[in-house]
Amino acid sequence: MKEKNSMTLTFTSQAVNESFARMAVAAFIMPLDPTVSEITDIKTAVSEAVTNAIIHGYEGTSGDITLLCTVDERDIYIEISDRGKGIEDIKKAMTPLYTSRPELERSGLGFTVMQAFMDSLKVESVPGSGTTVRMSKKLSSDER
Amino acid sequence: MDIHFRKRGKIVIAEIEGDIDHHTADGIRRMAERELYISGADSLVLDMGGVGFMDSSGIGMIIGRYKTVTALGGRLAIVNPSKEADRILSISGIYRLVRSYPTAEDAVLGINQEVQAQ
Repeated sequence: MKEKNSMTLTFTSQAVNESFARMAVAAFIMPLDPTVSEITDIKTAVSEAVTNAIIHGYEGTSGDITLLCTVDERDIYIEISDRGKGIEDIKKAMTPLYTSRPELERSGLGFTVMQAFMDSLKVESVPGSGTTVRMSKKLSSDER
Repeated sequence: MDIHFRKRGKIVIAEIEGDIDHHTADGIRRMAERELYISGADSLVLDMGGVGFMDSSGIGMIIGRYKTVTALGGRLAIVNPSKEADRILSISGIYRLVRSYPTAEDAVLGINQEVQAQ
Protein backbone atom coordinates (compact mmCIF):
# COMPACT_ATOMS: atom_id res chain seq x y z
CA MET A 1 0.00 0.00 0.00
CA LYS A 2 1.44 3.30 -1.13
CA GLU A 3 1.51 6.39 1.03
CA LYS A 4 -0.77 9.28 0.16
CA ASN A 5 0.92 11.92 -1.93
CA SER A 6 -0.22 15.52 -1.86
CA MET A 7 0.69 18.97 -3.04
CA THR A 8 -0.58 22.47 -2.36
CA LEU A 9 -0.27 25.48 -4.61
CA THR A 10 -1.27 29.03 -3.90
CA PHE A 11 -1.41 31.46 -6.80
CA THR A 12 -2.86 34.85 -7.66
CA SER A 13 -6.30 35.11 -9.25
CA GLN A 14 -4.98 35.95 -12.71
CA ALA A 15 -6.52 34.30 -15.78
CA VAL A 16 -3.08 33.26 -17.00
CA ASN A 17 -2.88 30.93 -13.98
CA GLU A 18 -5.83 28.83 -15.21
CA SER A 19 -3.52 26.88 -17.52
CA PHE A 20 -0.80 26.75 -14.86
CA ALA A 21 -3.21 25.18 -12.34
CA ARG A 22 -4.56 22.48 -14.66
CA MET A 23 -1.10 21.63 -16.02
CA ALA A 24 0.32 21.40 -12.48
CA VAL A 25 -2.39 18.90 -11.50
CA ALA A 26 -1.87 16.93 -14.72
CA ALA A 27 1.88 16.74 -14.04
CA PHE A 28 1.26 15.69 -10.42
CA ILE A 29 -0.97 12.74 -11.35
CA MET A 30 1.10 11.68 -14.37
CA PRO A 31 3.06 8.97 -12.44
CA LEU A 32 -0.27 7.11 -12.05
CA ASP A 33 -0.38 6.69 -15.83
CA PRO A 34 -3.93 8.02 -16.29
CA THR A 35 -5.65 7.76 -19.67
CA VAL A 36 -5.77 10.81 -21.96
CA SER A 37 -9.48 11.03 -21.26
CA GLU A 38 -8.94 10.99 -17.47
CA ILE A 39 -6.28 13.70 -17.68
CA THR A 40 -8.55 15.86 -19.84
CA ASP A 41 -11.49 15.38 -17.44
CA ILE A 42 -9.42 16.43 -14.43
CA LYS A 43 -7.74 19.34 -16.24
CA THR A 44 -11.13 20.60 -17.40
CA ALA A 45 -12.68 20.38 -13.92
CA VAL A 46 -9.70 22.23 -12.39
CA SER A 47 -9.89 24.90 -15.09
CA GLU A 48 -13.60 25.42 -14.39
CA ALA A 49 -13.13 25.75 -10.63
CA VAL A 50 -10.17 28.13 -10.94
CA THR A 51 -12.04 30.23 -13.51
CA ASN A 52 -15.02 30.46 -11.16
CA ALA A 53 -12.74 31.66 -8.35
CA ILE A 54 -11.24 34.35 -10.62
CA ILE A 55 -14.45 35.57 -12.24
CA HIS A 56 -17.03 35.07 -9.51
CA GLY A 57 -15.01 34.79 -6.29
CA TYR A 58 -12.73 37.75 -6.82
CA GLU A 59 -14.68 39.37 -9.68
CA GLY A 60 -11.43 40.24 -11.47
CA THR A 61 -9.72 41.69 -8.38
CA SER A 62 -6.54 40.22 -6.96
CA GLY A 63 -6.63 37.48 -4.36
CA ASP A 64 -5.15 34.09 -3.55
CA ILE A 65 -6.46 30.78 -4.86
CA THR A 66 -5.29 27.62 -3.14
CA LEU A 67 -5.24 24.28 -4.94
CA LEU A 68 -4.76 21.08 -2.98
CA CYS A 69 -4.34 17.78 -4.77
CA THR A 70 -4.04 14.44 -2.96
CA VAL A 71 -3.43 11.06 -4.53
CA ASP A 72 -4.40 7.95 -2.53
CA GLU A 73 -3.79 4.77 -4.51
CA ARG A 74 -5.86 5.61 -7.66
CA ASP A 75 -8.17 8.12 -6.00
CA ILE A 76 -7.58 11.78 -6.85
CA TYR A 77 -8.89 14.45 -4.47
CA ILE A 78 -8.81 18.09 -5.49
CA GLU A 79 -9.73 21.09 -3.41
CA ILE A 80 -9.79 24.62 -4.84
CA SER A 81 -10.54 27.49 -2.51
CA ASP A 82 -10.69 31.25 -2.63
CA ARG A 83 -11.32 33.96 -0.08
CA GLY A 84 -13.55 35.98 -2.38
CA LYS A 85 -17.16 37.11 -2.15
CA GLY A 86 -18.68 33.63 -1.80
CA ILE A 87 -21.89 32.25 -3.26
CA GLU A 88 -25.26 33.34 -1.85
CA ASP A 89 -27.27 30.51 -3.40
CA ILE A 90 -25.18 27.43 -4.26
CA LYS A 91 -28.16 25.49 -5.67
CA LYS A 92 -28.92 28.32 -8.10
CA ALA A 93 -25.24 28.69 -9.03
CA MET A 94 -25.11 24.99 -9.89
CA THR A 95 -28.16 25.13 -12.17
CA PRO A 96 -27.06 24.30 -15.73
CA LEU A 97 -26.86 27.40 -17.98
CA TYR A 98 -27.29 29.80 -15.05
CA THR A 99 -24.67 32.54 -14.93
CA SER A 100 -24.48 35.56 -12.69
CA ARG A 101 -22.23 37.24 -15.28
CA PRO A 102 -24.04 37.01 -18.66
CA GLU A 103 -22.20 40.12 -19.86
CA LEU A 104 -18.96 38.08 -19.89
CA GLU A 105 -20.20 35.46 -22.40
CA ARG A 106 -20.26 32.82 -19.67
CA SER A 107 -22.06 29.62 -20.63
CA GLY A 108 -23.22 28.82 -17.11
CA LEU A 109 -21.88 25.29 -17.48
CA GLY A 110 -18.89 25.36 -15.11
CA PHE A 111 -20.41 23.27 -12.30
CA THR A 112 -22.21 21.04 -14.82
CA VAL A 113 -18.88 20.21 -16.44
CA MET A 114 -17.24 19.57 -13.04
CA GLN A 115 -20.09 17.19 -12.14
CA ALA A 116 -19.94 15.42 -15.50
CA PHE A 117 -16.16 14.98 -15.57
CA MET A 118 -15.52 14.07 -11.92
CA ASP A 119 -16.97 11.33 -9.69
CA SER A 120 -17.98 13.71 -6.91
CA LEU A 121 -18.33 17.45 -6.41
CA LYS A 122 -19.01 19.38 -3.21
CA VAL A 123 -19.25 23.14 -2.95
CA GLU A 124 -19.04 25.01 0.35
CA SER A 125 -19.34 28.74 0.47
CA VAL A 126 -19.74 31.50 3.03
CA PRO A 127 -20.89 34.80 1.54
CA GLY A 128 -18.21 37.38 2.20
CA SER A 129 -15.60 34.77 3.16
CA GLY A 130 -15.02 32.56 0.15
CA THR A 131 -15.72 29.29 -1.59
CA THR A 132 -14.21 25.81 -1.50
CA VAL A 133 -14.81 23.28 -4.26
CA ARG A 134 -13.96 19.63 -3.49
CA MET A 135 -13.84 17.07 -6.26
CA SER A 136 -12.70 13.48 -6.56
CA LYS A 137 -12.14 10.97 -9.30
CA LYS A 138 -11.00 7.37 -9.26
CA LEU A 139 -8.61 6.53 -12.05
CA SER A 140 -9.15 3.30 -13.93
CA SER A 141 -7.03 0.33 -12.97
CA ASP A 142 -3.36 0.57 -13.88
CA GLU A 143 -3.47 -3.03 -15.14
CA ARG A 144 -4.46 -1.87 -18.61
CA MET B 1 -3.21 30.59 -28.54
CA ASP B 2 -2.93 31.52 -32.22
CA ILE B 3 -5.70 32.28 -34.65
CA HIS B 4 -5.40 32.58 -38.42
CA PHE B 5 -8.15 33.85 -40.68
CA ARG B 6 -8.95 33.30 -44.32
CA LYS B 7 -12.03 34.21 -46.30
CA ARG B 8 -14.20 32.27 -48.72
CA GLY B 9 -16.92 34.50 -50.18
CA LYS B 10 -19.02 35.69 -47.25
CA ILE B 11 -17.48 33.14 -44.88
CA VAL B 12 -14.53 33.73 -42.53
CA ILE B 13 -12.59 30.61 -41.56
CA ALA B 14 -10.80 30.93 -38.20
CA GLU B 15 -8.12 28.33 -37.55
CA ILE B 16 -7.57 28.21 -33.80
CA GLU B 17 -4.44 26.68 -32.30
CA GLY B 18 -3.81 26.18 -28.59
CA ASP B 19 -6.04 26.13 -25.54
CA ILE B 20 -9.46 27.74 -25.23
CA ASP B 21 -10.16 28.82 -21.66
CA HIS B 22 -11.33 31.99 -19.94
CA HIS B 23 -7.90 33.53 -20.46
CA THR B 24 -7.82 32.99 -24.24
CA ALA B 25 -11.54 33.04 -25.11
CA ASP B 26 -11.76 36.82 -24.90
CA GLY B 27 -8.90 37.20 -27.41
CA ILE B 28 -10.65 34.84 -29.83
CA ARG B 29 -13.88 36.81 -29.39
CA ARG B 30 -12.19 40.15 -30.12
CA MET B 31 -10.21 38.88 -33.14
CA ALA B 32 -13.16 37.02 -34.68
CA GLU B 33 -15.51 39.99 -34.24
CA ARG B 34 -12.92 42.32 -35.79
CA GLU B 35 -12.33 39.98 -38.73
CA LEU B 36 -16.06 39.67 -39.42
CA TYR B 37 -16.44 43.46 -39.29
CA ILE B 38 -13.42 44.25 -41.48
CA SER B 39 -14.09 41.54 -44.08
CA GLY B 40 -17.82 42.18 -44.41
CA ALA B 41 -18.46 38.44 -44.05
CA ASP B 42 -21.62 37.18 -42.37
CA SER B 43 -20.64 33.58 -41.53
CA LEU B 44 -17.91 32.05 -39.43
CA VAL B 45 -16.22 28.66 -39.45
CA LEU B 46 -14.30 27.79 -36.27
CA ASP B 47 -11.64 25.26 -37.24
CA MET B 48 -10.79 23.54 -33.94
CA GLY B 49 -8.38 20.93 -35.28
CA GLY B 50 -5.50 22.65 -33.46
CA VAL B 51 -7.31 23.08 -30.12
CA GLY B 52 -5.69 20.86 -27.51
CA PHE B 53 -7.87 21.87 -24.56
CA MET B 54 -11.23 23.58 -24.14
CA ASP B 55 -13.36 24.24 -21.07
CA SER B 56 -16.82 25.81 -20.80
CA SER B 57 -15.36 29.27 -21.53
CA GLY B 58 -15.09 28.00 -25.12
CA ILE B 59 -18.82 27.24 -25.12
CA GLY B 60 -19.58 30.80 -24.00
CA MET B 61 -17.34 32.14 -26.77
CA ILE B 62 -19.01 29.93 -29.42
CA ILE B 63 -22.53 30.93 -28.28
CA GLY B 64 -21.43 34.57 -28.47
CA ARG B 65 -20.23 34.14 -32.08
CA TYR B 66 -23.44 32.26 -32.94
CA LYS B 67 -25.38 35.32 -31.80
CA THR B 68 -23.15 37.62 -33.88
CA VAL B 69 -23.46 35.71 -37.17
CA THR B 70 -27.18 35.11 -36.62
CA ALA B 71 -27.65 38.88 -36.24
CA LEU B 72 -25.72 39.31 -39.51
CA GLY B 73 -27.97 36.77 -41.23
CA GLY B 74 -25.16 34.21 -41.53
CA ARG B 75 -24.18 30.82 -40.15
CA LEU B 76 -21.69 29.41 -37.66
CA ALA B 77 -19.97 26.05 -38.09
CA ILE B 78 -17.46 24.04 -36.05
CA VAL B 79 -14.73 21.99 -37.71
CA ASN B 80 -12.80 18.96 -36.50
CA PRO B 81 -13.04 19.27 -32.69
CA SER B 82 -10.89 16.80 -30.74
CA LYS B 83 -12.62 13.91 -28.98
CA GLU B 84 -12.24 15.76 -25.67
CA ALA B 85 -13.56 19.08 -27.05
CA ASP B 86 -16.42 17.21 -28.72
CA ARG B 87 -17.49 15.84 -25.32
CA ILE B 88 -17.86 19.30 -23.78
CA LEU B 89 -19.56 20.58 -26.94
CA SER B 90 -22.06 17.71 -26.70
CA ILE B 91 -22.76 18.31 -22.99
CA SER B 92 -23.48 21.98 -23.74
CA GLY B 93 -26.15 21.16 -26.34
CA ILE B 94 -24.45 23.52 -28.83
CA TYR B 95 -24.92 20.99 -31.63
CA ARG B 96 -28.63 21.84 -31.60
CA LEU B 97 -27.60 25.27 -32.94
CA VAL B 98 -24.31 24.71 -34.73
CA ARG B 99 -23.24 21.95 -37.13
CA SER B 100 -19.87 20.24 -36.98
CA TYR B 101 -17.94 19.28 -40.13
CA PRO B 102 -14.81 17.20 -40.65
CA THR B 103 -13.01 19.88 -42.71
CA ALA B 104 -13.24 23.62 -43.30
CA GLU B 105 -14.01 22.95 -46.98
CA ASP B 106 -16.96 20.77 -45.96
CA ALA B 107 -18.17 23.54 -43.65
CA VAL B 108 -17.97 26.16 -46.44
CA LEU B 109 -19.87 23.82 -48.75
CA GLY B 110 -22.48 23.10 -46.08
CA ILE B 111 -23.04 26.77 -45.25
CA ASN B 112 -23.31 27.72 -48.94
CA GLN B 113 -25.85 24.92 -49.51
CA GLU B 114 -27.90 26.04 -46.49
CA VAL B 115 -27.90 29.65 -47.71
CA GLN B 116 -28.90 28.63 -51.26
CA ALA B 117 -31.70 26.44 -49.90
CA GLN B 118 -33.24 29.38 -48.04
